[in-house]
Amino acid sequence: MLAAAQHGSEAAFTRLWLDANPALVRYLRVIAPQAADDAAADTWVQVVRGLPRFRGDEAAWRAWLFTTARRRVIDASRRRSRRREEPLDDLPVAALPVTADAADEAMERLGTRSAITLLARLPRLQAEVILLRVVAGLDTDSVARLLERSPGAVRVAAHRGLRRLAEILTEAGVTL
Amino acid sequence: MTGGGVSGSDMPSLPWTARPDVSGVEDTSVEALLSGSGLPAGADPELRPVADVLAALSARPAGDELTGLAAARAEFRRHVAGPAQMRPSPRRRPGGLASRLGVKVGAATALVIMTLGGAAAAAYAGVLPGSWQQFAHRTIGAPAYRADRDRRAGAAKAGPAVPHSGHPAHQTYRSGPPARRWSQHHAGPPHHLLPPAARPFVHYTRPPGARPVRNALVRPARYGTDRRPAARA
Repeated sequence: MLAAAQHGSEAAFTRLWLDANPALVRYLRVIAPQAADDAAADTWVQVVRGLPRFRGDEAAWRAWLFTTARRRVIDASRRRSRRREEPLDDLPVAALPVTADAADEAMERLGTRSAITLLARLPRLQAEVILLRVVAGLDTDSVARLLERSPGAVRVAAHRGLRRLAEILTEAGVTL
Repeated sequence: MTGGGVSGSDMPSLPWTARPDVSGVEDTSVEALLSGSGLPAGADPELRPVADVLAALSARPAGDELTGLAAARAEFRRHVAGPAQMRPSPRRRPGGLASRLGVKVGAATALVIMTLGGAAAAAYAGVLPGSWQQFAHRTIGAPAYRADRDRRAGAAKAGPAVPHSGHPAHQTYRSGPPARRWSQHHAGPPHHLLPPAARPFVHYTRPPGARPVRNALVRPARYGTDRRPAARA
């Protein structure tokens, strides 16, 4: 499918997009909640332009897609920092104010949005590791390269993130 | 650490200190959750809600997660599909190998034609080496080999010709066939070993009333002069 898209097949590219974009948007809604849609559009523009020159399999392409998205978010954040504008989405995810009933709301309907809201309460690294592993489907080594961390650090972050998530759910009184 | 005079029993028995914030979750359970294979049997019941949250993260896409496809396809058509249609893919290119071979054969043919054409031109100009010129003379009717051309070329390298001295080796331009003149010219010791007065030279004389020879190979003005160089006077 990737090779066909690289050779100009729009149908193959559409399938790639339909497969990857929901995961991309979910990832961006955690690391850049106020600009997720714009960041996703910018990411696709850059990925499409580099598509003919990409070399690798679909797993590598998926990792490249999320790497591009993450860099777009970081670059946009730096540009806004240089302009000394501090919108709310520049703040770390963990520093964002969370409504007190976020966990309760998530428990009422464990939809995707609620799960993303819950995950946004985790520290940035832990949330990114869990999203890249679960949503993007990347393995530990790929996540480590993407985040520029060691595989051990990625595993520890995953452990801590899941444990913290369990604590949040327990605090909300959820026992399934 | 039993060496160095310290027994193993002397070493303190430290318990393995696991990370307190990580030890609560087993590696197998975490890996199963993160890889999407579900919670294994016997896992900590505390992880059950976590598994549900992760499953919700991987749920089917909602409608707002599928917006932007049109823009992405437009970008794809502009940068990938359009240029890909401009350049023919190897599968669509008919006779790709044949065309590449055709280019090589054409280039080789052009090279052969240019070589043969150049050789023919050189043969008609009479500037080929002796055996080649004779071959061209026999095959394509090019002018015959002229030995005096080489001789004059050698004389031009040796320096200006000396005027007629009455030496027996003195020859004229029209004395005998070329082969004979060649043998006469080269008979005897090498020229540079002879005294100056005995050195043969070429002296082209034109019979009275004869028209000057219009031939690029004959230059009477250079070789037919009677002026002796000042250094040899």
